[in-house]
Amino acid sequence: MRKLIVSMNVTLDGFMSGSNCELDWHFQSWNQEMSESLAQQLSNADTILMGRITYKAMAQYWASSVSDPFFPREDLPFADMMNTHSKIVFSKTLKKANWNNSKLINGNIEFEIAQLKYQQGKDMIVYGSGQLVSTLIPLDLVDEYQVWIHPVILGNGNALFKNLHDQIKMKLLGARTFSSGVVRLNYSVRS
Amino acid sequence: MRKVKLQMQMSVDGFVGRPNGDLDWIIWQWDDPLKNYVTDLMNSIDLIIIGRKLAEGFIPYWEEAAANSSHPEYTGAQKLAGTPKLVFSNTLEKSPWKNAKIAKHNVVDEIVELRTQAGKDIIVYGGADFVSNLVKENLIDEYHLFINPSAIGEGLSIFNSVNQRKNLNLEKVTAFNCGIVVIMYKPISA
Repeated sequence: MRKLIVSMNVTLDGFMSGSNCELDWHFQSWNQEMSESLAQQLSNADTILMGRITYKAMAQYWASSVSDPFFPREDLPFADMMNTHSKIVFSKTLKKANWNNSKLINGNIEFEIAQLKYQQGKDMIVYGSGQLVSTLIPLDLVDEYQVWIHPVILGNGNALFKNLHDQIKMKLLGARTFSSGVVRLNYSVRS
Repeated sequence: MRKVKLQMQMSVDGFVGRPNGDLDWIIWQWDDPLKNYVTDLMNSIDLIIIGRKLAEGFIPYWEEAAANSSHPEYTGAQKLAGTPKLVFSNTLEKSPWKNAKIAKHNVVDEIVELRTQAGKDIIVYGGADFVSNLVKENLIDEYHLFINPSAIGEGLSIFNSVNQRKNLNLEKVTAFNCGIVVIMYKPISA
């Protein structure tokens, strides 16, 4: 069965974004080394799950990258994967998803994810999509976490892990340090 | 100058205890390299600073363990019990414990003065409220955070007093076979 992986940037105090949805702290500690690692990670998956807000931002950005002569060359392999991987968009309000290889789903999320896991293929990865992730986690639908811990404390914000019915026990798979000060911890969820 | 070092157990989501203080999510089966890491830290210090609430459990526990040669952590207990402690309290005037004094001044003044004194480094193990104040007042020189492989969703924080974004310098990451990753940060000097 293929796995569902959540890859998320968080602050040291566990927030995905600030209390006003600030994400600017991402950029101060993001570097090329991390982009390459992210591309490596994406090549092990063939499906990207996302919520409406992330879908809209990403569809516009990545779809236009192929025709943009100023788009950074080193990001082109990543852009290519974003455009060709299968995208599953979870939204109750979006009417259609036109980005190449996208599929819109508005049904029961537990059922839909179970179906996806049983399909043949590589792993599925969730990028951004804070609301979707907050739905998936308490339903125990996540198999692996890749938590990118940035060297910053915000004091308050939107937590990655919330509304848990119980502690999530994990197994450490690995730790990687980036020169920008980010540590990525990989965990599988213990059942 | 003496450094103030924080050694603290933390969940993946950044908590140091459950809402009621429970620590049942922490891994205590440390492998030898992690034990050595802790011993090295312990050998680098000659003073423990501690909040009154934690002191009430911490000091008697290690006193008792240090008096019992069959205790599994007898050696560490000897060191912890034998190290002088400075307890920060708003209510206690006099220390009821061995090897412990009550701080006379507020925590900022006290630590500023301690840092200038001769000696080895200073360590703090908690509790959450006490450390939260140290973090806010920029009094920690080294953060040794023991990240445990669990998310607990809610709980006690050492970061919730921070009201202005705080960036840190990543110094060192060590992953241990027992599942704990120790991340060491230093503050960014102004």
